[in-house]
Amino acid sequence: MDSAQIYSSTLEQLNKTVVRLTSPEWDAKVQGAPPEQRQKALAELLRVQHARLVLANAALQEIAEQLKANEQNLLDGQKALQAELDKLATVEAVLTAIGSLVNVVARIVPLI
Amino acid sequence: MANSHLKQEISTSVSTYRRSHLCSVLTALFLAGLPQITSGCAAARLTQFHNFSQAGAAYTKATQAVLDEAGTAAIEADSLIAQKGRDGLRSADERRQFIIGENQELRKRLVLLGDIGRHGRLLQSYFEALAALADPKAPATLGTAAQGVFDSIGGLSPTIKSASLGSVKIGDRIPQATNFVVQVFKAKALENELKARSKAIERELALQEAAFTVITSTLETDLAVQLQLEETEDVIEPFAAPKDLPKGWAARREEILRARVAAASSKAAQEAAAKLRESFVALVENRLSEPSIAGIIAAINSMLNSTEAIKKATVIQ
Repeated sequence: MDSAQIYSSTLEQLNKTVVRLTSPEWDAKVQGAPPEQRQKALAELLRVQHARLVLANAALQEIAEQLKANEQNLLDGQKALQAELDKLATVEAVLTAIGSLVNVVARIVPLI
Repeated sequence: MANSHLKQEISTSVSTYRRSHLCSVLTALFLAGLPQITSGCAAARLTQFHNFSQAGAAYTKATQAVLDEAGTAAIEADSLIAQKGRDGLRSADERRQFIIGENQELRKRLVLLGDIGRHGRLLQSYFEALAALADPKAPATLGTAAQGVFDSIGGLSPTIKSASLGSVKIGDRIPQATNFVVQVFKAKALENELKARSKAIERELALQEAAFTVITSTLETDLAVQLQLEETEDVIEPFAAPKDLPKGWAARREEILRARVAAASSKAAQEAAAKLRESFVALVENRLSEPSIAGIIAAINSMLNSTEAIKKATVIQ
């Protein structure tokens, strides 16, 4: 996969994730979770939104090498996250999968 | 027959979009051009270039509304997410850092949308110059003016090509070049201009098409986020709470549900850009027809329709 494809698929996954994390279904799930998880869910929503904006504005030629260097982690992270978003089994599992992907993105573009 | 069809189409657009200022502008432009379409072939060339220039102006005004909507949707989605997730940040410093970072990224997005709008307006100026060049009495300085506009367009396109929105680089969505041959025109200045720059202009129109393909995808995501958060806040939570429903709850619910459908079908801008490019090639080949112009009108109307529906439904309550 070339760096443009890795870039697109990662951004696409972040877009799908932010749409899922703002859905009424996810909101209902989070409302039933313990307070610590609720707080973490809100923090992860902000991280995903920030990551998608920063990555979308990044110049591809400047991050192409880092994308290639992290290719496998990004692809695994996307796959695992999408599987959790599809199942929506537990809040904790979704948050763990989000954290894994966003942490890899943070190695490529500086995130807050 | 074709004329009556065109008149009917324009008439439909008048009744459907009476409320919209943009539509009034669009309609006025085409009604002004209509007598020229229907006149014989004496000034056929002038008419073709004039009508194309009018179509370009209507396209630019309508796409500006889409660009505005894309900027608004990005900011509103981000604001709603920030409000929703604010409690997820523990300290004032974390919250400050977050919102400063978001503002910075949103400003970059708005600059890019502004560049795409400027690129469209420059193309419109170029088409106006072509329409003037179609007149055999056009002064020689018009060719220089057209070149100046073209240079400005060329100065903007590398930035747009290399930019990304949604999940794709705009440059990766540029459609393949169309093969065409510049026809012989009696107005030599026009022919020379088209021979010198029409292939490059076709590429600039393809860039517009690519930009709106990408804008559509990011607009859909931002609107989905916005509408989902509003659905939770305005529809689901009031319904779930053991209290009386707020006044206007049912109407708000309908607006949100209808807007979700409008948001999912906002591809009209890229269709209008594609039709403008096709029509430009037909113009250069001296075969621009009424159905081509009617096709652009239909696409522009559809773009306005979709933008208006989205705007109506996403007004923050």
